[in-house]
Amino acid sequence: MRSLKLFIALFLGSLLLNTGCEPDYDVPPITVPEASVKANTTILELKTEFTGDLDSIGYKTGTTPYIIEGVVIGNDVSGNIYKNIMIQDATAAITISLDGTNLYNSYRLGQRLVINCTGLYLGKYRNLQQLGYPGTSGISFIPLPLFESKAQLNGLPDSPADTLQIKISDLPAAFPELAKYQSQLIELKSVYFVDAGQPFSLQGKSISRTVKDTLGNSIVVYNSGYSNFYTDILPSGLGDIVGILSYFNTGYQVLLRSRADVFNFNGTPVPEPPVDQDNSETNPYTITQAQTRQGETAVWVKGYIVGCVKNGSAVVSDGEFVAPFSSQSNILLAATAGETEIAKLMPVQLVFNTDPRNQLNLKDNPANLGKQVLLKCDLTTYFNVTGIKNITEFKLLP
Amino acid sequence: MKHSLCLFLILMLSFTVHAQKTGFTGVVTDAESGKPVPGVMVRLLGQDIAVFTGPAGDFLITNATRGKDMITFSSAGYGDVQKEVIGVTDRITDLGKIKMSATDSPYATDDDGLITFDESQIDDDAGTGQTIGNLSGAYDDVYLSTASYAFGTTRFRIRGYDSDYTKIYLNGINFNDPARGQFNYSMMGGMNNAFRNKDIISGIDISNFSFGDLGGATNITTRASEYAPGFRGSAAYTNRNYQWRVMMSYSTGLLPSGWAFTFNAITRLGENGPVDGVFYNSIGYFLSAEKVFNQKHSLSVTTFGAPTQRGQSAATYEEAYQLAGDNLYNPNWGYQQGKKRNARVVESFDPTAMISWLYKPQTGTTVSTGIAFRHSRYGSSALNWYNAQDPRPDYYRRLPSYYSDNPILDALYTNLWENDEQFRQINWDHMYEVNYLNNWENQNKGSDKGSTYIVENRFSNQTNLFFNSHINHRLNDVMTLQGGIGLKYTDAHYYKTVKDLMGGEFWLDVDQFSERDYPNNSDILQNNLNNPNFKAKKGDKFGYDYNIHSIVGNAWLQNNINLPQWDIYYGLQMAYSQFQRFGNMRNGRAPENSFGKGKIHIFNDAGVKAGVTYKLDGRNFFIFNAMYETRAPFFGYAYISPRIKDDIIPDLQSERVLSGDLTYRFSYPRFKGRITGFYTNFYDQTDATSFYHDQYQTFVNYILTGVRKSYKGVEIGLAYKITPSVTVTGVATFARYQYKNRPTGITNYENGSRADTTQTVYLKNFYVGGTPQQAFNIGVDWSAPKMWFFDINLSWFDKAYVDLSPLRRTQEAVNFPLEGNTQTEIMHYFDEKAAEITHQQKLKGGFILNASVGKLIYLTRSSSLNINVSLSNILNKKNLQTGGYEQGRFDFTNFNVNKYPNKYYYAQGFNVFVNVGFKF
Repeated sequence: MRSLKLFIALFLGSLLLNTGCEPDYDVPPITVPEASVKANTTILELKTEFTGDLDSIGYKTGTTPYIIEGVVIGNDVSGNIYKNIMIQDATAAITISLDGTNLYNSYRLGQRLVINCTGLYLGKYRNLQQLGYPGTSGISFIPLPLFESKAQLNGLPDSPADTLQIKISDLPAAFPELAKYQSQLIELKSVYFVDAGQPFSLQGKSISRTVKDTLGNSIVVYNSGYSNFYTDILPSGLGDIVGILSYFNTGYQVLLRSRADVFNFNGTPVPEPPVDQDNSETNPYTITQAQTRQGETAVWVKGYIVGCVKNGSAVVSDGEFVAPFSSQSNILLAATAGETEIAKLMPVQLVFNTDPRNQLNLKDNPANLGKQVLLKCDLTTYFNVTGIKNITEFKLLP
Repeated sequence: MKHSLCLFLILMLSFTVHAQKTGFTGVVTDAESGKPVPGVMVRLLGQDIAVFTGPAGDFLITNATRGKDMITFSSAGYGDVQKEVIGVTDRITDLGKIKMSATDSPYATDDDGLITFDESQIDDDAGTGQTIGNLSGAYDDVYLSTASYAFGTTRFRIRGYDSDYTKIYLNGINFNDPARGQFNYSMMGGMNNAFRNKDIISGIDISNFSFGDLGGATNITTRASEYAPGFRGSAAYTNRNYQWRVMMSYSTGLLPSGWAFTFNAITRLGENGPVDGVFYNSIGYFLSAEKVFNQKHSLSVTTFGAPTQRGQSAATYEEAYQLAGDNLYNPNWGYQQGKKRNARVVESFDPTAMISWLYKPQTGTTVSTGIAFRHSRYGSSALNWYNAQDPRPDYYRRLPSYYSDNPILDALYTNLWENDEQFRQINWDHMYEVNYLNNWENQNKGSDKGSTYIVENRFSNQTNLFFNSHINHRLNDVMTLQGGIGLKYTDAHYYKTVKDLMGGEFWLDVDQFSERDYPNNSDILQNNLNNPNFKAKKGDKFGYDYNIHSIVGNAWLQNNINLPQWDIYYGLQMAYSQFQRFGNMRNGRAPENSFGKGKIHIFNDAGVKAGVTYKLDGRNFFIFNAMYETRAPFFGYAYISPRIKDDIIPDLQSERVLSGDLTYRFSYPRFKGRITGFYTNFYDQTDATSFYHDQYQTFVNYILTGVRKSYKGVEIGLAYKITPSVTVTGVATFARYQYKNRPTGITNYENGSRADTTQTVYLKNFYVGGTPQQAFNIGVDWSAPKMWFFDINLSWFDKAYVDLSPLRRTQEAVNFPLEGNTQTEIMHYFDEKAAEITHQQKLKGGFILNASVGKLIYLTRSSSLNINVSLSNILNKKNLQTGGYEQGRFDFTNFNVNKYPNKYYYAQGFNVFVNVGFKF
């Protein structure tokens, strides 16, 4: 019995020894982050100082780094923007390429960020100026841990963003003015989707949807097939669109941050402006019109040179949209610059040893990319689609 | 079928074999352990009559003449026992228990805590701890006793079999898990003293308490009267999974009143052990009471349990181990407010109660009947995240190799891994910040966001009712009969709960992966359409919730014949099993096939088994055993994606097993051992694995059906006494465990975003992974004067392979673009690249040196103190891989096998176990 008592005593003793469960961890306190450094450079200053395709950002003076501060105006919260955030200060905005997904958890809209840019790179990807890091070719994504060591959160995500209200026709076409507008948060009032009724995008694909104002000026809204709203239907009628003013090759594209960036649409379909019957040099067909007028001969057509079908191919889906180009025998025209959607492209035949080929083909004249051209020609099938042949007159527009 | 078997049993019992005969009966037991000794030659010297004891140690002589005679009992390894007896006409005289003492002390004994093995060496999660089944008790088999403890660290599995082929019984009640087949050793809480009385059957040898199984069977007896009376206590320190262990037990022995009691308690704890982030908290209790009513009846009640909480370590990439500079690197933990927090914590508790009734109507007949109730609760925590970066530090996009084509990034990540502990561990504070910001946006911006990061607890609980009854009955002088029935009812419950919202307000119960694939279908992403968009709070169930009810029954019968030169046995088993899923949620990916009662699945199985022993003389034996059986699939592997829906694997069928072994065994006073050759074929096996598919953002279930495997090899175990106190042992296994056909693989995407695909998997002649196929050990044991004990063991193991990913052996996996200018070049390129993709990595094997020293001090005649120090991996080898597996994913874009590299486990370096025990 003595042993039993000893057993019980020791058993109870050993229970005390054993604290028995997973420790209660201290819950981290709620802290308002405060950046330890202050900005010494505006975003516009940075963008105008480093204008190359891949510029290493060194020290401003001595050992003073370039430090910018901005408010997050764009991120990947809906999945429509991918591996990018955009920040804005009073002077301009900039896209930051980051090698990470779900960035919006750390970089929320309205979050102020102070970034020590020294050690990072500023460069252009398809003519979009951005803060990045060297990739296999040109500017690419900043490794997230590197960015985290460079960027400090400053305060809670409660800073308001400035939305630039702007007309499509007021957008500048070239640097250095571009620097001010690229990556800005803009609002387009009273515009409509040409493809109203279609979904924003298709699963896994990216689709450019043309938006026009009532004057017929157009811009592309570029939608990802990975967003959480890509199956939504483009609303009809006139409405307002907010988004990041991004850029691709030679043209603007608007990036929506979420479905809520498309609003106030009134549902009344907007008819395409009627085609002026007397086609002339001063009143040429747009590419969209030309595509519906197959068979007409000796008409005037105006469009943007966006690329060519690669040498040896006879299908438009083999389009080349960036230099170097391989074909001298054709070019591709579209209603908007930077267009790559196959259905919106019109192939133009360039006959050997003629002026149109010598002066328009992109292989020999890569600078023609993005330029507008005016043609007198026949509208006839080429590469099995609505195309252009028999150019009798042509003008490259400045 | 069951009915006819029962009827047969009753018929056999009704024979009254003892009438009108003259002779003797009795039971031969081991003087020390009290266990029956089978195969003992019982001779009446004056009449030249000899019989042999059966599996239950009993014997019967019926053809004696009346009058005085000498009866002798002899068996190799035991000293002869002689008795004078008097035969009475027409009477079978019961000689009762005849005790025989072993001539050589048991090879290894944990009697005084001297055994070096401790279950702290075993990773409880591996579920492959078959070796432990043969622990500390395989007295008479040099091979088993050595293999079970010397090879412990290498995850050695005897004959390579998975643990579900070994059956474990407590008082004759089978406790193998009905869901997955294995025995859960952690439910015993490490109370070695409570579970030390064992009957171990190796391989497909004959057993007297069960039909047995491929990997053998063990019956642990917990009847209180069988524990030596007295108090035992021990305290141990180790630097393994835990650090401290305090154990004690108290047994009354059989009291004059017919009662016997035994109590056990244990506590184990550890923190800041050799593996960072791993902690261990466990207590255990064991109570057993027995009432011996009379010679015929005794009733015993046992209850035990061991609530345990432990932080786990995880296998990771070779790259991560190297970068961290530590083969015990553990990616599961991180600092939270300066304290190490482990994301993967297991909480388990399996309280068990059982009643067993032992009925001995006559000498030579024993009926053991038992019923057990168990409720097991097993929760395993893990991080979960919603539209956020994978927070696990060894996520492949955080490893330098992911950036191998960019030297700058490679260097950047390498530097972070090598020098920034924060980076290579979990960042808890960051996850809290994100959740806090969600709360802030809810308050200030009117959003309705739950936690982005949580810790979830995945439960797999079971309620079991087990029933077993078996009989041992002597038919006549040479024949005994064994038979039994078993029944298992199980209600398994699988679900998960929110363990910690980590500062957030709730967890939104939708499937984010479906959200990506079906953004416009709010139904499909619901985990529970009966409670859509549920905002789970702490402790709430979410994600999945289903039960599986199962009934498994079996009946077996066996006839055993012991002749002077031959022992022969044959047996038959019939089994029935059924299971059915009950969904408690209506899943949006299977709205019509997830909620409520599912289909009932029924399997009928049978097995036959036979063996013959040729006894050349009393010291040399040749034994041949063979078995053929069909085995129903376990319900834990039968469903394609049970969390979602009620679909089982197409054409699910019982697997078939054919096995045979041939043994030569010898036993001389100084030299004993055995050589066994075994050959086993498995047919129609089904294998299911699941993994997270990064690219498709869904869980993928990969199922192999119609798998054929072959296991063959030779086991050798020899023990030679150089002097009476010094024994040298040698143990070896040469084996080969291989796949032998091209099974069919089915890929199933759990969110239904892609249709199931079926392909042929080219597995023929690849190795079955996970266990060394060659292992050797040389040991020296010295029982020195003055109660000192020394032993030293040098083991070598090799030919263990990583577990295969079937996807890498499909046509799709070698359908890469070809390179080369000539046909020869192209073919050469194909051969090389295909070989690289299909190559199965061999794990790094090598030598392990273990030693132990023990000292026993008698304080008084009945009380003693023992001290034992055991040193493992003395050479401090840290590069031995104890396990590994290929990832389920494969890079079908670039066919780069290194994109999803293998994951490995490493052996711990030098470690110790120090135990001080006392008893009185």
